[in-house]
Amino acid sequence: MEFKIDGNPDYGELTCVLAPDEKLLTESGAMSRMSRSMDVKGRMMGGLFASLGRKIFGGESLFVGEYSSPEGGWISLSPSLPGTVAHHPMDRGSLILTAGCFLACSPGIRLQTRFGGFRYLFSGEGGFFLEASGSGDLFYNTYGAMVMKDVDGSITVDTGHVVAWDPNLSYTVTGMGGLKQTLFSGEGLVLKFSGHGRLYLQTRTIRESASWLSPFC
Amino acid sequence: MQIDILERGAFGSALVMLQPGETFISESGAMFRASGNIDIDVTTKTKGSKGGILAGIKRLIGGEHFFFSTYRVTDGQPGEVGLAPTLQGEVRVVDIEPSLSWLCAGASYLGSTEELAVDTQFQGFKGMFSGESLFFLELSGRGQMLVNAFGRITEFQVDGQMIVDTGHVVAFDEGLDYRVTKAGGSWVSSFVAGEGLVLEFKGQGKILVQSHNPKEYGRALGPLLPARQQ
Repeated sequence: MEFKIDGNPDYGELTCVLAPDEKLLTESGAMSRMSRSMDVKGRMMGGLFASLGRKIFGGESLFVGEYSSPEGGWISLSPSLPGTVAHHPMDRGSLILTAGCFLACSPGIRLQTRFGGFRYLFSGEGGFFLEASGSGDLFYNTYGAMVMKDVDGSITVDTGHVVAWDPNLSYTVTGMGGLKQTLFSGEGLVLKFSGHGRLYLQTRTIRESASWLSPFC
Repeated sequence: MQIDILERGAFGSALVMLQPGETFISESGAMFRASGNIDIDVTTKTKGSKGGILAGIKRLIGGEHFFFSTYRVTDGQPGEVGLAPTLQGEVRVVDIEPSLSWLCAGASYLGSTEELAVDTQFQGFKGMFSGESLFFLELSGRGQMLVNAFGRITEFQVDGQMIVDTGHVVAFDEGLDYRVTKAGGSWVSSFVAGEGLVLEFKGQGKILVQSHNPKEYGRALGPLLPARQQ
């Protein structure tokens, strides 16, 4: 599969050229334009239970779109939020994604829902993660620009800004400092990552955009 | 008349420089600055269009404004008008020739030179089903049209067929015919895949598409907002 990402960091979109009968799995409703020969099927990734888990808890759609064409073709995808589209090539590894960040993947990649722990449930970010594993091309999107950080030791991140991480990293959901700081610093709950591995962040959160807009509703 | 596009990227705007005797028309509310000698008026009708009150009502039904704004200089000196869209994204100029009219999605129309006739085209059933574009504005004659987008604009020279999601169409020339159809082989799979209805363009012509879908952004943001206060 050939692909091209245009428009980063503010209006990233993805265009994939598929060979005959090659498949691409996409976030529901992400297609913006495509060649006439492309066909789409709704597919539940990882079976009904995993799909229901992704929908109810992961903030993702119940179905993913499976695009292919007997003669080959092209398709463009854009996320619902403006920002960056990132490519993550995978070779028998895995990556944890937070809700709403999945854009597309090749069929060699499996998506499963992972429970983030009871504390994460209260972080306001949905409580569930997606784990992508296998080999192939994975594409995800961020709201705003994407920041990559190689963690060696530990790092504290606002929950809403976390997009993805290498599962070698372990995390805990915690308050920022003591009770006073947790309640009044405006940060709420944070994720503390430790170990060796890569962490991907986004520079904006939709929750903060919404809370800024709220007084004008 | 000269039109400059001032910024590229997320915050595009247009600066229209008017000579005495020239008029520019814009979507109501698009002006964000004007030199002191500019006179702003409103109209329901553009030159050569089937305008009038009925045309204004058609635009209202289509979710647009009843009136267009018009700009001209009053003192025989050149003047300028700055126009900016509501959504973040690119602004572009489209040159239109009398031999080939253009259709512009209602939400993407920013303005046009006075020689262009602007008519509202209801698409009947096919327009209604497409949701985002209940109607298109048809621009005909010789002149320039300003369009805006949510995100980036990409131009395609279609020769054959192309599928565009309803929320991504900005404008296209009438060398292209379109119909509302399903994204995949069956209606069920199209809806299940989250695409529902798409537009199928056919023929030879130019189409401008926007990278992002304003409704999708609204749907992501909307549920996080509190209920509207009465």
